[in-house]
Amino acid sequence: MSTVATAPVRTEPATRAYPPGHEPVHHYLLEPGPGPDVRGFARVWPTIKAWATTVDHKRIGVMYLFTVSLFFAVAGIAALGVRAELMNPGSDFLTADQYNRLFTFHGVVMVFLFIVPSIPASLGNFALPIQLGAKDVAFPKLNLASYYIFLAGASIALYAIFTGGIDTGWTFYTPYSDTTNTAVLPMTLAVFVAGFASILTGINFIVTIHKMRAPGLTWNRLPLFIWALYAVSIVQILATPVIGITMLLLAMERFLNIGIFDPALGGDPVLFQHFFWFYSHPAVYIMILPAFGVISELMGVFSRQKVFGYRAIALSSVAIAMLGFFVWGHHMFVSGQSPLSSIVFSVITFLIGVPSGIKVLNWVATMYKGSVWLATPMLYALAFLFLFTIGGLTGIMVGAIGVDIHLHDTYFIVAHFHYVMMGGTVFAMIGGLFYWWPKMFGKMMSERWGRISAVVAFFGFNMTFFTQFVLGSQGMPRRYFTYLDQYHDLHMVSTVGSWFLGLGLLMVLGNMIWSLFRGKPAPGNPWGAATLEWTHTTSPPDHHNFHRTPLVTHGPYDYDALFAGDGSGDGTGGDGSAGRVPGMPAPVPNPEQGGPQEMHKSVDLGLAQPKSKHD
Amino acid sequence: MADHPHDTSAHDPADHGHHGHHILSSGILLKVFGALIFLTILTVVLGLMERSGTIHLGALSVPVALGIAGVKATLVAMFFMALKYDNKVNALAFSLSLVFLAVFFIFTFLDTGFRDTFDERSATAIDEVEMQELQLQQRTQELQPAFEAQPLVLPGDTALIGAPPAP
Repeated sequence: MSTVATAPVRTEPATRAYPPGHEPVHHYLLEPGPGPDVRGFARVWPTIKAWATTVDHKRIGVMYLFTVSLFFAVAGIAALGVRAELMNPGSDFLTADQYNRLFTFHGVVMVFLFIVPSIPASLGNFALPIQLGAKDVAFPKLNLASYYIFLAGASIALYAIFTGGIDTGWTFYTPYSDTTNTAVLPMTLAVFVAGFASILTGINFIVTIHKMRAPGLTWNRLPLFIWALYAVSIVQILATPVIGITMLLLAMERFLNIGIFDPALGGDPVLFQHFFWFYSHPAVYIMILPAFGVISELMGVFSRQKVFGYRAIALSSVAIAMLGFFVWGHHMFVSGQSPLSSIVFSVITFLIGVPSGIKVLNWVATMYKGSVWLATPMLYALAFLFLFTIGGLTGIMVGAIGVDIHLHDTYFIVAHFHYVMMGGTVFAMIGGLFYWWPKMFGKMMSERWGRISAVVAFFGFNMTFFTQFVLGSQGMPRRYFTYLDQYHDLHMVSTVGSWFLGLGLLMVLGNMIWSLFRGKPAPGNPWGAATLEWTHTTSPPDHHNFHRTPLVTHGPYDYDALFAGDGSGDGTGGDGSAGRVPGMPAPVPNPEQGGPQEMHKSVDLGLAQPKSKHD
Repeated sequence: MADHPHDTSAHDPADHGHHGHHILSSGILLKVFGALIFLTILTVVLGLMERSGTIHLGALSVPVALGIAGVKATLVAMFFMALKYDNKVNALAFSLSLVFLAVFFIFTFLDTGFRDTFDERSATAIDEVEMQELQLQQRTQELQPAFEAQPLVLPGDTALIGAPPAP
């Protein structure tokens, strides 16, 4: 192993000395770069054009990441506005009507434009093909099309917001959505269009997972992130058309006066809720399942041992995806649905707790007796574990009919789904971002500020939303812009908490921007992970991901197969205490045979063919 | 495989769905067409009979109609769209989508078919229930003028809920 390549030396070629793709420094962010003689706008335009027309899954993932982050920021500012208005009872700076539009804006943008595409479209698009050892997704052009369809949907949503907004809440319940004068139709059209982006991504992922796995990458060797994305894709393909049909029916009723949901025309308003939740409850699993996948990766990597119960975690993802289709009625216990279906839905809702519990138990068991390394991604993963468990258990509580009748439409529900969506999905996504950021951009984020942000966000989150559990159980109804004096103190605490939460997220944003300009260059495998995107390609990856198609000979969490000693990467074998102290440098993996570390410099320079017995 | 017309028995299973359309004999096409026409007539006749009161299907009315429509759609997919001779995975995907639709329908019927079922389970005699309802109606009529005279929002409450002050 004397030929281990250190960081490639940047030389200044007088002309183009190397064929494209064989430069000393080359990766997907740079290629195809203009020559050094091109200056001014002529230098910028090809870059813009290359990004706008790219079919590279990595670039599309980065574009999705940028877009959904933007929507997250906008809707997050709206949330801060909602909380600020609720700091004191009565109207502070918003009227009741403006408040209705603001919280609807927050809900619609967060759900349809941020959370649904968030992890699959950004981290999934980036990591899935590399984890599979593929050059790209199965349908690269469809991938780009899905991005533009998503942009089209988002544009229609923005149009709806700027032409009066919408005040129905993100659920668009009839009969109110049939009668309100706000821009319901453009907004539902936006949801309809954005849904197609979701479907296309799902199709792409399923075909890629089935058809493009590297040799040796059997189903039992798939990383758990892939399993989670597979389950999500199934739900996306099956459930998303239903919301499209629902929105079409709503439009038909408003335009053509066909009685579907409006009792005055012979329709049934509860039917709308059936249609809506038949999509939107599985959509809840579209939002949370990718987060499960991210957490499974983080738990394995940062505990330095095999993920406990690999198959149980993998299949429980699929089980949640399937069971998720049978529980939508638990949103309708007080909507006048029949007692029989309430009982049936309640019982099936309890069943969801089983696969979710399997996952939580297995994650905890993965940490047990592992070398837990409290790096930033792991801190976010631990925050997820804590917050999601609270969110999940309160979900079981409101799944019981008697309790739900008391708590329905109170802040208890608001707190419950924010613990799942924000404490679950968003924390997992940030953890995943810290984890994959070095691979995406080749720069390390600040570890110190990452840890501080995790602590601040965790503290702020609980301050914001735990108080809402108490508020809800005391009877504070949701979606009201004012309240009785008795709730004032807790609302005040919640609003102050939202500032801490916002501060924590701002630190994450600052950390990202800082790292792009000032961050240390990332090594190929800074975390010592064992999946293909870390072991078989550089940071950032090559334009085509791999120099050669990887041959997979071990599972995704077989650290002892890749690294010396106990797998902690510190090379100390048994005791390994050095690797467990926070602040220690990242574990340096032993170079894998056939990996890029083994490649001789002359190969990078394009002067020799790569040689390896594993080719 | 589009070189000669043949029926199902002569079909070679080895070249499923690889090239071109599957050619069906006109006999099979006519039989399917006949079945579709028969099922359409059956739907109409059942509907007319139910409307005139000759038969009474009750809660089964919609499932029967949907069942017939489902059989027709399956026939079209199997023969006219040649799913029967295609790769079996496609048939599986098609069937699963039907199962998925059935889940939605069955669970929604659990609601619409069983509304108010718990209220009917009363140990009280029918005439007693009717008497109670009559008394309730009379009481409502007595209270109606007093209820309407009383404003829903008291003047002191308007600041609390942010509503405009009562005229």
